[in-house]
Amino acid sequence: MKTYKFLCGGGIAPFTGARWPEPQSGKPGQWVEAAAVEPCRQGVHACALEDLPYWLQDELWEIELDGDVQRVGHKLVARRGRLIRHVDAWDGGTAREFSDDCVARTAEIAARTRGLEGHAADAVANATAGRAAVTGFIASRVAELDGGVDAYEAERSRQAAWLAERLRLGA
Amino acid sequence: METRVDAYAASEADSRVVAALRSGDEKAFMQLVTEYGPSMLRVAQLYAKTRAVAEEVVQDAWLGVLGGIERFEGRSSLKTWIFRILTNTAKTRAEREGRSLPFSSLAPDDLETGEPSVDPDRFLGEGERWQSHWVSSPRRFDDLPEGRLLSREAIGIVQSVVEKLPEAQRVVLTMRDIVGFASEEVCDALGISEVNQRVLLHRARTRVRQALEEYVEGTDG
Amino acid sequence: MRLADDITCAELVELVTDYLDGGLAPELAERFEEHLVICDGCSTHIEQMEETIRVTGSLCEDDLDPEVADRLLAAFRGWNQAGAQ
Repeated sequence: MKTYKFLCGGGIAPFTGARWPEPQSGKPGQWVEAAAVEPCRQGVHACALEDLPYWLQDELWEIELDGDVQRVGHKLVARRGRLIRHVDAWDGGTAREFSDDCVARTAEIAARTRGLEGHAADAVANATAGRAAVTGFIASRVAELDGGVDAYEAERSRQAAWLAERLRLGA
Repeated sequence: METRVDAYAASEADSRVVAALRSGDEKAFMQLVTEYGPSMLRVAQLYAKTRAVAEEVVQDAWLGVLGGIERFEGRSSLKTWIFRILTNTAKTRAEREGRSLPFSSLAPDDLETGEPSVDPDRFLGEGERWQSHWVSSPRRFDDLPEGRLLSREAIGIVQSVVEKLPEAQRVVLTMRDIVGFASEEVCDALGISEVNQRVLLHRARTRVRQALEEYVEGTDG
Repeated sequence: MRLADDITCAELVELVTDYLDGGLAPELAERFEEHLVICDGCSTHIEQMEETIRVTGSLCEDDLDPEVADRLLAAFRGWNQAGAQ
């Protein structure tokens, strides 16, 4: 199973601010141990394909995990990891495409269900501001408000599949 | 976030310092004293009636360090070991003088639900689409001109807020964020639970954050 | 996040210290982080908290009182001598 990690611009981990060593000349980045980089945490964090929509940030990387890998909610935790490759296809442009797609889904539901115009407007505003993760969340929330938990999960799966295809990611 | 206190076993650097002390290396001792002395005084002042007494406690603690250095086994870091001697010395002295230790019994209102950490007006109200979410994002402290936050004034404000904190909050904040003890060490030194310690720390940090936010917003045009 | 799992900003700000200390149960910490991804307000609030901790940490950059230093040096020499005998 391939595993992925989102980082902020400059290879910075979003929650700890730590800088991840990047692959050089085709070789994977250095191994990073949990305690060294993320002392307050139980391990190195990553995610699987189906989790991607929850963690969108500037940079997407393929990461190799080592040791016991545990799932906690929508993330994976391992003792150590190393960056394998940067997913070049994920950038501001594709993020915007993702957002626009979520905006369309939101508008569709808002058009046939009363009371969701505000959410539709929020989706547009966030897409315009370049906030892909928020837009994806709004689309999922609207799906749930309209069709319950199953609809929420279906929308998240759809988002993950969209990313997998658009970014040509293997499972 | 770095953990400023190494709560793990003695490092190689620690071993070198210990060896130096054991061989009578004055420079090594003075370096240690310079590094930890000021923090030790801060901690001692949490227990002592006066600054003079606190200084004596620190002096006694250093004598305890020298007296025990041959027996130091490196199971904890040198810093942890030194501060344990300090807090023990401080407690013994306080007991001898009939002083109650920093909140040897927590006052009832120390742990009751306090005020919300952020003014409820900062969040959207009932019936709103995003109820209980921020009305608007707070502003980053570092949106200021370079170095603004670490200005004398900002530090002075923090110092003042810390001094006015209720005792239990002041002690925990001092030990955790000023002196850099790890959570377990503070709980151990003060005889309080992890949960209690965290509540006190949260309240203390909340007050300081609020004061800094007011300063940042107040001094900006 | 599903509605059932939702953390609001008002709830999150009460949990910041627990989170930074690694004191939240893993599942709650994960939801906390999911929220941060979609909430600039809370991300900024946490940054403020981290900055607060940093500034507080800078309070202890006092210098050692030279008189105190002298006394300790004398004490060290005394201890050293006693050991040498």
